[in-house]
Amino acid sequence: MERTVIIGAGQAGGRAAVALRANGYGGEIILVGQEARAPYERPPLSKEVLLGAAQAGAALVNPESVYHENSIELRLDMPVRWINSATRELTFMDGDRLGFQRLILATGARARRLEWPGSEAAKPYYLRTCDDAEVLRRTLSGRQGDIAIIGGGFIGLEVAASARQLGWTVTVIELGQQCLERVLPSASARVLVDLHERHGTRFRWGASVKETKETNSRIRLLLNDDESLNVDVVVVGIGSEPNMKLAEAAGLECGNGILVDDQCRTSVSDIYAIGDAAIAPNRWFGKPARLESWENAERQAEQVARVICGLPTTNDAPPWFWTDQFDRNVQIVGVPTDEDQMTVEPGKTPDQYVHLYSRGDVITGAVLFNSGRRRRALSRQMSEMRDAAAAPCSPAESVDSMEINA
Amino acid sequence: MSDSKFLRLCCISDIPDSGILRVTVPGYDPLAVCQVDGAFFAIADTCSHGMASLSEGDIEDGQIFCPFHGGGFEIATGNPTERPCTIPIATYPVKRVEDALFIASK
Repeated sequence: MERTVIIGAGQAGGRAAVALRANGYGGEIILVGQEARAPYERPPLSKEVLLGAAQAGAALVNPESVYHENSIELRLDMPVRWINSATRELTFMDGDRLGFQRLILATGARARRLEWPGSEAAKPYYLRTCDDAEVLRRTLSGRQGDIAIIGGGFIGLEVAASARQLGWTVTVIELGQQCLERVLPSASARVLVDLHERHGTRFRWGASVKETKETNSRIRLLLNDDESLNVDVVVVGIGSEPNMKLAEAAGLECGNGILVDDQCRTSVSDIYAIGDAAIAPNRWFGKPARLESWENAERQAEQVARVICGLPTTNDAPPWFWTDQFDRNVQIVGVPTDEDQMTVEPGKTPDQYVHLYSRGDVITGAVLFNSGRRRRALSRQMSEMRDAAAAPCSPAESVDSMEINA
Repeated sequence: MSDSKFLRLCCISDIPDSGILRVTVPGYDPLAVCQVDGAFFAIADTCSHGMASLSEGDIEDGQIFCPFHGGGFEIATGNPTERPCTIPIATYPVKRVEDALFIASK
């Protein structure tokens, strides 16, 4: 019987396994995970889990019974040592081997580490996995103090909001001049900064940590402007890096991620890559993009399943990210930039509105504040406009690829 | 109807123009009573994705869309139709007697 092995039991891997069956795949499906847990949802980790409103890992990607019902074999807590793409066999860390006809790499990404003189003394926390979230939750609960968060991206801001809600005094140390610089135009980013400032969070812009000074019980961070900050906890949230060592060692083409075409195919036949680890052509960015979002993992999981089942597939809806901070749900659809014209569309209540970004008659992106109900229509509208536009409108982005974390 | 096996949900005229009414009855988590093309349904009011009340959402093409993240469910079956919702919500048969709607008591 044909066998498809999926390496990576996260959002992308877990959904791909089920989507294969749903699309009629009759072969064996083996889902291999490095962590001991069945695929779980990451979005709650930086919010409900830190707040103690949900248990780490309680929100599953698929209900537990789904794997058995769909004859999907789970091999958890089984890190893979290497893949032989010629003989189509992988070797686990413990020496076991497993052959495959098709392989899906859903190896995800890991939190980018930050080192500075004395960083080990600061014992910085990172947030990526269930275990990370559980450790940070225990640290933040039951007491209060000062927390420094290095990085004003999605993770940094979500942790900042959670920590504030738990009564911590929060300082965000951001190298740039605004938060969420890679995803949000400045007018929309300003809304979020205002929200955090209203809740008492301090931002240090253009700031970085030069050194950690040893003190008795607290952590003294010396910043680049020579001011120092005394805190009890340091969290680093400066983005993530794709897990592609296995792919590189197997001879697959990689850049800032495992390179795939618009059908999730890597440079080696019958090996596919999806989710946070994959970098795929993207018409919205006008170049390959590695999108670290829940939505991208879902879409590519569905897509790779259809590709393997020989079904036609496209994946060209506008990118979509969301974040929940305090009482705000913020959704980003498309690719809004500072170069676009922005109009504010008010909603039913003062805290519901949409920042609509456009170039000429074409809507390039939108930022929805507590307006999730507007998303479907806007997304549809943007796709229709993009389909109709003969020349794709290229975003004013100078980096080689977009890396977005949500 | 005085049958103790059924609980009264609401009057049809209680359902607002949005087609959704939040109702609480003993033994059930909060419910959203929905009117779709003249038919009535009772579904779980709490979205299976986040802690949001579906009765504050919108009905379109037989689906209910959550006001929070914008995910959706087919009202008749409870099956998720729009991300980020991926887990079905509970649905319950509704009995209509004249102008009132009832649900089986638990």
